[in-house]
Amino acid sequence: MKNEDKIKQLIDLRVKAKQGGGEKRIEAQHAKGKLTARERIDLLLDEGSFEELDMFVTHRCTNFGMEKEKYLGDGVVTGQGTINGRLVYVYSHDFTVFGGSLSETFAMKICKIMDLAMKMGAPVIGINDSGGARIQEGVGSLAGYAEIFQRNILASGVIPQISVIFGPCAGGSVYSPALTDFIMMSEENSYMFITGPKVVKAVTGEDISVEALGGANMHASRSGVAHFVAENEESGLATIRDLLSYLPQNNLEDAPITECDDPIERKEDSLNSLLPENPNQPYDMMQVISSITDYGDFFEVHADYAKSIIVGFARFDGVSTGIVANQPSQMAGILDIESSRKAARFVRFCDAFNIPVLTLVDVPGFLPGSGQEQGGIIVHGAKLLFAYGEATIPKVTVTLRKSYGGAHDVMSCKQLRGDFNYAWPTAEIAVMGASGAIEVLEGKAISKIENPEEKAKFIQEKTKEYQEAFANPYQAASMGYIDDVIEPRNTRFRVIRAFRSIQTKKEVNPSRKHNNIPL
Amino acid sequence: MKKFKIKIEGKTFEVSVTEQDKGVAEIIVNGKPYTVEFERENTAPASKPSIAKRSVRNTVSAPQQAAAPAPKKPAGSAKSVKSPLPGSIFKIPVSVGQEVKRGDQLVIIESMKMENNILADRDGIVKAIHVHTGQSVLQGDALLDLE
Repeated sequence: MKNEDKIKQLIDLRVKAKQGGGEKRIEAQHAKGKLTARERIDLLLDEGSFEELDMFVTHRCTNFGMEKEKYLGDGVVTGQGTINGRLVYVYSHDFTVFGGSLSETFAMKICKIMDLAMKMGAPVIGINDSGGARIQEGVGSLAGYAEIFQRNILASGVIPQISVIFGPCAGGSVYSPALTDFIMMSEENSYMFITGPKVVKAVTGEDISVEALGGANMHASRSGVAHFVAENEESGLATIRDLLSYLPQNNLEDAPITECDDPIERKEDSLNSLLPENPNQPYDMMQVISSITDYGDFFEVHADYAKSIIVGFARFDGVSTGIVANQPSQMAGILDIESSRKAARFVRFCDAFNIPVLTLVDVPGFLPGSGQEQGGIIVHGAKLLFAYGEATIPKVTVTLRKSYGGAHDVMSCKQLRGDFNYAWPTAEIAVMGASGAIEVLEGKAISKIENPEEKAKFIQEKTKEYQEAFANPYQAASMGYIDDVIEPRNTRFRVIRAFRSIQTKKEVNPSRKHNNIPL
Repeated sequence: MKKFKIKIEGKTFEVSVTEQDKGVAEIIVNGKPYTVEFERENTAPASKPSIAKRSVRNTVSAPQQAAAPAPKKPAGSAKSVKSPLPGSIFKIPVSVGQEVKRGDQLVIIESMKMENNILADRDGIVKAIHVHTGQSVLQGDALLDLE
C-alpha cells in the first residue's frame, strides 16, 4: 500500500467511525427527537475543541456470533475538549450501536478518560443513552460497570462529575449517575429506574408507565434524583455549560472569577419593605436572592424538589457562591426530610469544591408529625447540621425573620463555625415561638386561673412580654451569636464585604480516615 | 344498608351507608344525606371504616391504594387537591362552583405559625370543598376537588 493510500484509508476509517451504527439508525434516533452522540458533544463543547480518543476500539466478544458485527468506537464516543476555554472530559453513549449497550471495551474507553480527568484535574461529563449491559458479554459487562463505579467514587469530591440522561438508563447503569454530583434528565425520552415497568408488574402487580416510574418529572420533583430537567437536548447542554461556569476544575482550585459591573454597594430599598408586617404571612425568598446577587442572576439546583428550601449558585462581586435559603412561600419554609437532604448534599458539594456558602434564614422549625419521625427526620436533619458543621469554606448567614429551635442551630448558626452571622431587625431568634413558650413557662399559672376571660388576657399579656423579650435579634446579638444587625437594603454590600474579608480563611478538620456523616 | 357509630375528636357521628353504584354511595351522617365517591381497596369489604372516617364532609376520597379496575368517576375528572403539610385551615377564599385559574389561592393553611397558600395547579372549577375554617388537617388530606 502506498503512503497516499494509507492516508486515504485513515480518512475512510474516520468517516466510517463517525457513522456509528449507520444512517438508518441515526435517522431512527432523530425520529425520536434525540440527537446522536457526536451531535450532543458538538453542542456541549466549544466549537472545534473536541479531540476524540479510541475511535478505532472494537469489542472482543465472540459469543452469539458477535465477532461478525463490529463497529468502530464500540458504541461510546469519548474524548476531551473545552467549555468556555476550560478543559473537560466527555463520554457520550451512542444509541445507534447495539443500543448503546455497555461492553467491556466500552467501559474501558470511559475509564480511560476518567483516569485522564483525575490526572489532569478536570471535570467529567457523561451523556447517557444506553440500553444497559451488553448481554452477549456476560459478566465482562458487569465488571465494566463496576470499573466505572469505582472511578466515580474515587473522583467524588476531587473533580466535578456531571451526568446527563438523554435516553434510557436502567438497572445497574443508574448507579454511575447516582454517584456523580449532578444529574440532568431530558423531559422527554429519558428515564431512570432500578427495575422497569415489566418487572414491577410481574413482581408486585403494579401497573405503571415508564414516565411515572422513572421519568424526568418524577425524578425532579419526587425522588430528587434529577437536579435539572431539560426541555430539549440543546437547552440542556447549554445549562451544563452554564453550571460549569460556577465550578472550579477540581478540589484544589477556586471557581473562576468573572468581571462584575454591578456595583457592590448597590442598595436595594425594596428589601426594607419586602417582609409582611404580620410575621405569619409568607413572601417569596427568590425576591431577596435576586435583589442581592450580581445582576440578579441565580442558577437554581433542584428547582422542583423539596421546594421549602432553595439551593443554587450565584455570584457576589464575580465570585461564585452557593446559596441556601428557606422559602417561606412553600410549605411555610419548614425543614423536613427532603429539604434537609437537598440542602445537606448541596452544602457538602460547595465545601468539597471551595465554593463559599451564603445562608438566608427564615425557618419556623422542623415539620412535626409521625410521617417525619418514622421517615427518620432525626438523621436526615442531622445531615444538614453535619454538612454545615464540617464545612471549612467561607460561611455567611443572614437571618431575615424566624429562626427557631433546632432549626436555628442547623441553619449555619454561629457555633457551627459561621464566619459572619448577620440578622435583619425583623429577625426572631428564640428557642420556640411565643405561644408555645408561654404554655410551657406559664402552664401552672394559666391552669390556676378559672375565669376564661382572665385566662385569655393573662396569656395575651405573657405572650406579648415574651415577644418583646425574645422575638428580635438583640438577645442573640447581645451574646455575640449575631455579629451585627443590618439594614435589609444594605444586605448585598454587607455580604460581599464579609466574603471578601474571609476569602483567605484557613480552617482544618482533624485528620481521620473519613468522617461518619449520618447517611 | 350498614350503620356505624363514629367518634371523631370526641364528637359522635351516626353514619349509615348504602352503596348505590360501583364507587358511589349514599351516606347519612347525623340525619344529613351526602353522596360520596370512593375507591375500593383490593381486599377490603365495601364499607371499611376508612371510608366513613372522613364522612363528616360531603365527599370522600378513600385511601389511594389503586384498586385493580379503576373506579368509575361519575363526576367527570375531578381531582382532589391534597394538603402538602399538617396544619389548620385558616381561610378558604373559594366556594363550590367557582372558576379558578392556575396559580389562584384555593385554601390557606396555617402551619408552624405560617400562612401557607395552596394554589391551583391548573385551571378548573371547584367541585367540592372537604374542609372548613379552623379544621385540623394532616399531610395528604383532601382539601377540595377541582375539575
